[in-house]
Amino acid sequence: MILLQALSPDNNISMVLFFGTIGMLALTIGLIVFISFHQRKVIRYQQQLQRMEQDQQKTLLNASIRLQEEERQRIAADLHDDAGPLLATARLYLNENFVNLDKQTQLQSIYNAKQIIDDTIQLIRNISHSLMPPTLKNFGLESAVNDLFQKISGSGSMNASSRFHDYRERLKAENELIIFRIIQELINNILKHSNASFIHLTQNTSGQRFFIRIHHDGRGLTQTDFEKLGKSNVGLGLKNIQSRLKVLQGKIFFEKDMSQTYYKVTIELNREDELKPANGSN
Amino acid sequence: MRGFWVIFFYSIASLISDGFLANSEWAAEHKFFLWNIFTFVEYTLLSYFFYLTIKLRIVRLTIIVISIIFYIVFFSLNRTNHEQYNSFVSFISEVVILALCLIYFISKMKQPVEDSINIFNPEFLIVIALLLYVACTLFLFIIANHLSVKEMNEYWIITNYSNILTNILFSTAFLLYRYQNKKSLTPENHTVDYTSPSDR
Repeated sequence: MILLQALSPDNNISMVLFFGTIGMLALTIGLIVFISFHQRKVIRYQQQLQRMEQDQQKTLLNASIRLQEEERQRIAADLHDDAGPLLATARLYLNENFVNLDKQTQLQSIYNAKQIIDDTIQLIRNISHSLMPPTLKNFGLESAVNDLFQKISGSGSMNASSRFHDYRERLKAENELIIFRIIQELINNILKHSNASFIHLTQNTSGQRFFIRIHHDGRGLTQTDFEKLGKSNVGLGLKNIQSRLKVLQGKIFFEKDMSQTYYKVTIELNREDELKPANGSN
Repeated sequence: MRGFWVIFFYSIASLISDGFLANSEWAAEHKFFLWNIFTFVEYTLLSYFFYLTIKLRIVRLTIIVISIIFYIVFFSLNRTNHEQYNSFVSFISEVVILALCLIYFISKMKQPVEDSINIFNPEFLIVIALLLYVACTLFLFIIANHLSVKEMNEYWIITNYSNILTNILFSTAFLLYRYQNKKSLTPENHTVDYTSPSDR
């Protein structure tokens, strides 16, 4: 009845009412449908993101476990192949004292055993230093990185230098170690794959952001390469860098320098949240 | 939870108002006066529902300010003439409720997925019911003052249909709320069947 009244040409008010109400209803239903579809789309997208993140975390965890296993195997090999035979030899020399009672021979064998034990101590010290560099522990990231670069430069095959512009307050010891490991991994990659002739590291801060930049003139990675390798089964070291950065909630950028001559790696961390200075340390 | 009670009281108020109008001679004679009062009650309860539902501070403040303006307009327009339906006040009330429905949707769409809109969320159903009610009756309230009493009685059927639709959705929302609440309160079975061969 309303429809008939609305369609009669002499009833403008009814027409307004009829078409206005129908229009409003159509708009409302359209809005409800849009919201439902939009929400479903958002939920699907979020689930996809969550799945991707879970996959990524799984990959990083696997990489971290593999790296740990490799590290353990290396330490086990060092102890078994180097320290084991040395100590066995020292034992042999000391045993000789029971058999040979000649004073001169006994002194000689004790001296030899001492030499071997000294070598073993040095070897164990080296293993221990590779696990936790003493310079890093005692003097901080700046000294440890400078030390590392001096060693690389000292080999003569590459020109390596580092400069810390703004590192007055030391970071937490565990964070320093993580950053040092990341730098070590990056340097290791550069030495192994890039064929570079120089590496230069700089550190600076901007507000609460802490930057470490590494330049080199070899064949480097771009961000796309890094992301591609991070998702693939290869590139264990890069995955390890990712997982370490995740702990610090940091970021890493691989790019070619503006001049297109150098490759640049930038590590960015938020000092305020993740890298509070250690109390009483300097 | 309090929002549901508000909607429950709104439904009761609507039922009493319609029942009174249909069965009382005095009410039939003074129906415009009663409609005006119902507009007042309706606006108060629905804006309070949105006040409880939308947690944004700025929206809550806006609801308070608009409500004060609404009450001033309502009382100033109804001070002199009690026996004429005030279509302007109803229109304002409907527009405010419509705006609050849209704000509700926007605020929910901005929230994280777990708190966002879900078609089986009772609160969402209530807002849909209100949106449909407003959409059905808005134009009627806009032109109500231009209609004769005869036309008004003819077209008022739109309000009745929209009321039916709204109340069906309200009931569904209440049932859903009850069902979901019951489900979440059911204690989980923590007992272990030690006789099961797998546990031996």
